[in-house]
Amino acid sequence: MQTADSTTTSTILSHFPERIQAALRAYGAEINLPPEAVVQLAIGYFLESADIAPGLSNQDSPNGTASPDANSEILTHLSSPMQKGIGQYATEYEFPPEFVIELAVTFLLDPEASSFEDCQVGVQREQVYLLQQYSKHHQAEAA
Amino acid sequence: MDDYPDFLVKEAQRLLDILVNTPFDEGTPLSKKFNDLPPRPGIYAFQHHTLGILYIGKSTNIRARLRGGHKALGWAFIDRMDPDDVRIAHIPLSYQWNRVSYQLEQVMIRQIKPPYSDR
Repeated sequence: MQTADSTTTSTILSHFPERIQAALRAYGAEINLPPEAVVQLAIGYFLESADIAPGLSNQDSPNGTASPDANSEILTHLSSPMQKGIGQYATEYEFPPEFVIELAVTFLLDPEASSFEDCQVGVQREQVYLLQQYSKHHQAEAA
Repeated sequence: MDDYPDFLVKEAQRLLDILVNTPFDEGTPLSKKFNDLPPRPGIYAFQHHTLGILYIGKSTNIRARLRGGHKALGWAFIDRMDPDDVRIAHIPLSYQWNRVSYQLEQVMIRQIKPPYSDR
């Protein structure tokens, strides 16, 4: 998976509350990936779980490829296919696209939470394992 | 329920009525993949054929939440329940209600105290 540069990294993370950022960094440290890659994996896993193509690809540029209907700033920090997947989910279930990202990150951090507000942010072993497996699966697919 | 606004308590009661009154046969049977559950945010309940609601929960993705394993399944296993006597009832939540699903869940749990929600 492609990792974003430091400018992109700080920008996408800065959309999240500090405690969520800290949790994503902690997960990143566990699996040796930058926190923004954890965000991408979380979104990919969430979309795939909803039967939507996750758009995790090495060829995708994470910046400047906003689709025409991407009207939320946070989306512009994600690859075009991923934006498309988020848009598809948002249309299908009538959720704002930026909230789909919150749902995806929330689902990784705390599968029983419904938003950042009630999200427990402690690192959970099962979720680390899930991330590792999902990351490996996509690395193998990309190879 | 004094600490929650009326509109929220009313909606929680409406959702609870749906869960409690969902005929057992209309619930989703237990399976490994739970493919019949929706991959979207909502409220779900473990329903027992004769004992009623065992657990109430919420998730941003009901199918994936159940697919990943669930403590209520563990409790049901320990209690020697027949898997065919347990099903999942679920209600999707709109954006508006998903924002307050934690509060909805709390009101519902307080109302009927499902045995596995308290453990």
